[in-house]
Amino acid sequence: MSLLRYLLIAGLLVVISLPLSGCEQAGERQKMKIGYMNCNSEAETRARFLPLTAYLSHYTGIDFEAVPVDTHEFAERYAQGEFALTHSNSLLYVQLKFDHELQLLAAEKRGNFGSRSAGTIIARKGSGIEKLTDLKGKRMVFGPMMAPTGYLAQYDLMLRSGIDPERDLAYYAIPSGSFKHEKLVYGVYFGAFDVAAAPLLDLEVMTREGKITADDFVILGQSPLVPYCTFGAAAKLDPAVVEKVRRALLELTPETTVDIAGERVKVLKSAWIDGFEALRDADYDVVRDMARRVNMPPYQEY
Amino acid sequence: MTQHNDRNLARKMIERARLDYLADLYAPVTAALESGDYSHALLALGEVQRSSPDEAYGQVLKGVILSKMGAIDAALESLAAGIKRDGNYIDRNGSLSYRETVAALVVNQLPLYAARVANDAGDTIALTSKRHLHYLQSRLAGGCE
Repeated sequence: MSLLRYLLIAGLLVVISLPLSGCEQAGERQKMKIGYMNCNSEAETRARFLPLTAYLSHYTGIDFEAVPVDTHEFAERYAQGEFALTHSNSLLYVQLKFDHELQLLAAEKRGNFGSRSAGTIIARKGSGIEKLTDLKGKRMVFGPMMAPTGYLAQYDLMLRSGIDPERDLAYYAIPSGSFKHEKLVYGVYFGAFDVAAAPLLDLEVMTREGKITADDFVILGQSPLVPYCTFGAAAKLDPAVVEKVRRALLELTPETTVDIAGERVKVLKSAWIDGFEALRDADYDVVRDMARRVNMPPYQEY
Repeated sequence: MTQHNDRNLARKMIERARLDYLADLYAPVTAALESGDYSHALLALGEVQRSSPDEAYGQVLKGVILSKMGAIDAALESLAAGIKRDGNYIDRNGSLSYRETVAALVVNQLPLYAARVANDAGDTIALTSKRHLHYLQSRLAGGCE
């Protein structure tokens, strides 16, 4: 009788413990970090991407944490394993693909060209600078060195047009601090520089916001279109997770919302993104060709 | 009969006024487009679109400019959206028509996108653009909607 009672109690315990352990397993959510390349500041990056990170967590069942990362530290911190997913410009994607087999997840769409943008070289209208050959002997301002459409594309355009920025310009500078692309546009507008390497997207946005008008500047030249910011995943990441995150990004619409601190927020609007699309790695060859010609990572030779 | 003629006249006047207004509104854009200054045309368009972002003629112009700049996927999306709103911009007799430009785009791009989709069924970008091309092809052919 006591044996029967013992078996009954033991059986009951097994029956009760099975669903409990199932709940416990379901409650153990995987944790993962996403490195977001800073545009202007850490605070801005966090604010922009908090809703997107929350959305990805909700969609995939993985607890993602947003990590703002300085552009110049991005490759090094990725190599140290600080984050498994990346959101960076297309040049950093190319570099991490080359060095670490980073997987392409999706490309960000923003502005007139969707998932692509271009670099332009601008001068103030009426300055007498009308074409690329007029650049010789001029004062120029570039965007940050790792910017595909703020530095790389224009440097490449100049080399291909027979102008060596190192020898043919009077001098050139790169502005410091936040909002570098806006600073260089204003730098030309107010006469501190003769010409500037301006991303076409920034000109688009500044025109739309009424900060400048289309007639303020002459566009001396424009680079080919290159992919814009890109989501990547570590080579060793579980393929099921990679696919889930990719699907989550591609399914985002302007109406997708998440709740952040009691407020319903539009994910894409908050991140300044129009959407995502599935580019192919070969679409980045245009960036690779530019990096080779300009002698930049990952092809840099000393 | 007279009442009918009056209404007809009024309708024509409204249509003429609308077209004249649009031509005037987008004049800086079309001037830059015609002179081949595409980047400038796009920026000028951005200024106009600040007050009327979804206006059909603006979307068609955007598509034409983007196609000239080689951004074909974005161009097709914009053209399809604009023509869906107002098919007059590919009308044979429309004063603001870009029929020839759109027709050339369809003829040149459709085989390329068809080949891309045939080679890679997972190429969703090519698939979307191909759909836009077929839509434009259908509108050029006089399909009803």
